[in-house]
Amino acid sequence: MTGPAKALRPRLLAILGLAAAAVVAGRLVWIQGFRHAYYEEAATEQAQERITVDLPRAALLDRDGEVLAASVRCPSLFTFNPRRLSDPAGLARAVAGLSGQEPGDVLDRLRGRKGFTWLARKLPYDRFDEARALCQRYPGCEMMEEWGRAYPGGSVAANLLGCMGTDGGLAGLEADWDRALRGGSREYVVMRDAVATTLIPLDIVPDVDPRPPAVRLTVDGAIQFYAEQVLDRTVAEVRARDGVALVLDPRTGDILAMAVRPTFDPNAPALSPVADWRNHAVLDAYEPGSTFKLVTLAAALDSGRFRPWDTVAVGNGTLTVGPKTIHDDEPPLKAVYSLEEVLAHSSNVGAAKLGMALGPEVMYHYMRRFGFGEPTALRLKGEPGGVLRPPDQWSALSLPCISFGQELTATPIQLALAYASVAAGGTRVTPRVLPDGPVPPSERLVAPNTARELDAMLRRVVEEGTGKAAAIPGVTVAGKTGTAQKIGHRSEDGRKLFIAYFVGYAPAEAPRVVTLVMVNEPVGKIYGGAVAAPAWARITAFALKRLAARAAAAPPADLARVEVLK
Amino acid sequence: MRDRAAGFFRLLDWPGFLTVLALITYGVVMVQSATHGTRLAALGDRQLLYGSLAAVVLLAALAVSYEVWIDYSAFLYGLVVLTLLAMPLIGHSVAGSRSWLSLGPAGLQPSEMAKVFAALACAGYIKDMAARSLERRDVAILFAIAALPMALTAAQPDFGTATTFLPLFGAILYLSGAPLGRIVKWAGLAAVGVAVLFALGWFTFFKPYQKDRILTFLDPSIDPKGAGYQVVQARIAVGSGQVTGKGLRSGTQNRLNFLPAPHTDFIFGVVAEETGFLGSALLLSLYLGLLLRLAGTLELAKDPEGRFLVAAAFFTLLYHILINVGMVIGLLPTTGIPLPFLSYGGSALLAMTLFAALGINVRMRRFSV
Repeated sequence: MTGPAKALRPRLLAILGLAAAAVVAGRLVWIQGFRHAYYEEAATEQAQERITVDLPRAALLDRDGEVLAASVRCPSLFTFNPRRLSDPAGLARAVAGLSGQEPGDVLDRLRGRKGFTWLARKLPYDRFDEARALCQRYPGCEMMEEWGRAYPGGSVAANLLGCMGTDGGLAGLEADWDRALRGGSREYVVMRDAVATTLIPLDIVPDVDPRPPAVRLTVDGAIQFYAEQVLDRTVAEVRARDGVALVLDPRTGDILAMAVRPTFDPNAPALSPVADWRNHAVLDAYEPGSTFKLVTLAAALDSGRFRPWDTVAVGNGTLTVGPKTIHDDEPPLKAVYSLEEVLAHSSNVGAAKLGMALGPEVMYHYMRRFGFGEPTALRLKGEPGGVLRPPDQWSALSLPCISFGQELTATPIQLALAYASVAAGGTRVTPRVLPDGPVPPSERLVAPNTARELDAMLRRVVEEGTGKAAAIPGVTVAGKTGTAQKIGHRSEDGRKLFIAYFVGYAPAEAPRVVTLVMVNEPVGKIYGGAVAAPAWARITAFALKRLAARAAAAPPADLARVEVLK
Repeated sequence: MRDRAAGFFRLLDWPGFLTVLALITYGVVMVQSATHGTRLAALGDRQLLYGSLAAVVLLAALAVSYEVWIDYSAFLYGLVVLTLLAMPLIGHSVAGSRSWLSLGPAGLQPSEMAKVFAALACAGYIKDMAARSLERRDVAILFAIAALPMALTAAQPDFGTATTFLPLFGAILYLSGAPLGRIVKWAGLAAVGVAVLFALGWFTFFKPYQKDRILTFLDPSIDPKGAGYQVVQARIAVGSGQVTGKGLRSGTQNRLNFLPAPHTDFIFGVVAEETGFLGSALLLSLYLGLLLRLAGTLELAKDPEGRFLVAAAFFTLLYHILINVGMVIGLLPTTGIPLPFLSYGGSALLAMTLFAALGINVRMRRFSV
């Protein structure tokens, strides 16, 4: 304890203490100063769980502002921690009963999870009481409000509107326009602890996001509803596989009604097979049959090669082309038909001879002109252009067959638009489901004179031809029947399968509506003139009355202003 | 009476006294914060009681000369050794080790008090040598005095607390006046011995949890949800505290139960998370101030036994602080050693207060009367 050691030692201890402090302080500077972001994130990540819940999306309205689809508050069930549930099996059964899920699926979701878990999302908006009662009976089950979708009209326009899944649109406009319709979303933070005993849901985003403005459609709720009623009865009467009734305004291209059968209830889409959600009016192409003769006649007249009174020899109603014989449905009334009569009596032989006389290039040119072979301007997702092969892929039989509507397919909307362009004086009609915005400048498809001649022929179809059942008392009607045999398809009991059409417009002098009725695979009655034409007449008559009533109820804007000024 | 009080306050080493008082206060505040609103909330209030008690003990321990304390050392040492011997019979088992003595509502950990009384007993032996220099035999006897309660503590079994007797050996070596070279040689030998024991223990008597602690210290990501969990969570607590902290009672790592033992062994994690680098640095500055005060006292002490007490206090405090803070900030493996003045618990608080008080006491009475 003597000598230099004694003097050195206290300083040694001080140095020891300082060195220790320096090491610790250095480590703290490293962890808390330089690396704090990493640890901050780690702390947040393990303590918080984020749950995103959608805010209301844009409502869909009909052209008068009636609600077709709207966002409503719905109960959703969840649990903060499935491990703390006292009776998970009972809860799973109860949730399944309320939501239509399988109890086993709910239970599977609860197993092996310890964080926030959804039990059932967006239950029907009228199930709040049941959801609350369930939470009371099963402690640990919690309820929160989410925004779900309600369709007050049930299945009205369902195939056009589509339906919603938990995370967005599943079908129809809801799916096609999902991003545009979507409102904001809202994040919830669930504070979670290491043993998940205390959980604090924190609402970090105030509920101030404005609802996106409602979207008005061109659909007229009343016409849509009526068309669906008529179509329903027609399809049921002939036990058809599916059916379409389309009503559009040829002046603007506005889709006034798009009725599709079979249909479904978008409020509970899971109860129907996905096939029933399909919008056959736009998404499926069918053999157009005789309705397509309009295009053949348009080509014949507009090319200048034929005049309406020119004649075609139809003989006894058969025409043999190579190995195939073409038949008229009914034996011709006479051996020679004028062009008008070819259409009025829907002579396959006449149309085939006309097409062959025109040649493949002219026929193909007019088919493309009328919009066949490409999707329409509606641009719905998955919309096909239909089968329309270019002439270099045609066989010797193609030209005569195409001329009366075989060997090609068209969607009902394509077909309706072809007739709409005749109603519009030979100009292209661009279809739309959004009424606002200017009508695009119209492109001429055929000469005005051709349109007038076609119009006269279509009137004769109803006056004295196959379409007499489409007549509406007091209204001049122009249209065409179609009875397309589905080549290569037969029913299970070996019957030939057909598609019955009637498509046309009224009043012929100043067309206000173009209507198409398609009945796919009717049983018993098969002819377009018998199956589709009566339904067409009822729908069109109603649509005309409805439009007249609208015009009377809502005078032009400047007229109303004058009255107010007085 | 008033004269006596006035005399005491003149004598008092204010910097040392206030530093210890500040540390006790800091501890009460942090235990309150760590337990507030949890099922351990009652412990916060209890620590307030312990803190008040510790302040009284601090004053009392300073009021009486360390020489008087040394006079009673044999009795105190004997009492605590007897208690430790009786622990297998009267002890209360907590987490597998009989280290608690139940005293009505409160518990007492005799092994904590044993550290102080062993130091006092060593000082008593040194005093009895009457200023003759330490022989090798004396060193052996001093080692034995410290080793007896250490062995009894290890037998409870409580290896963590047993290692806290090690600083006493450091203080004895320091006092022995052995040249630095020899100390280094001995330390080297001890290190080899420990390594051999360690290797032996690894394959024989180490419990799986002890192996896990060492493995996960070396690489916490081995098992982040299991044994490495504490290491990872503590580091997250410290790092996410950043510079200014999340505020008292607002540490998510603590509040949401991610931080293990937040009021005891990992309380430095709460300090770092809730008061940030600034609060941690303040705490470390208080520790450093106390340590430097003690280091400075070594030169001033009037007798070898006083010097020994100061050295024992210095080494014991430094050991506790380094091992505990080192564990929380991820420099050392996980051990159950409390942070002086900060960790919840009356026994440790009293023991550390007594240690610090004895060191300061030596400085206050450095002049021969």
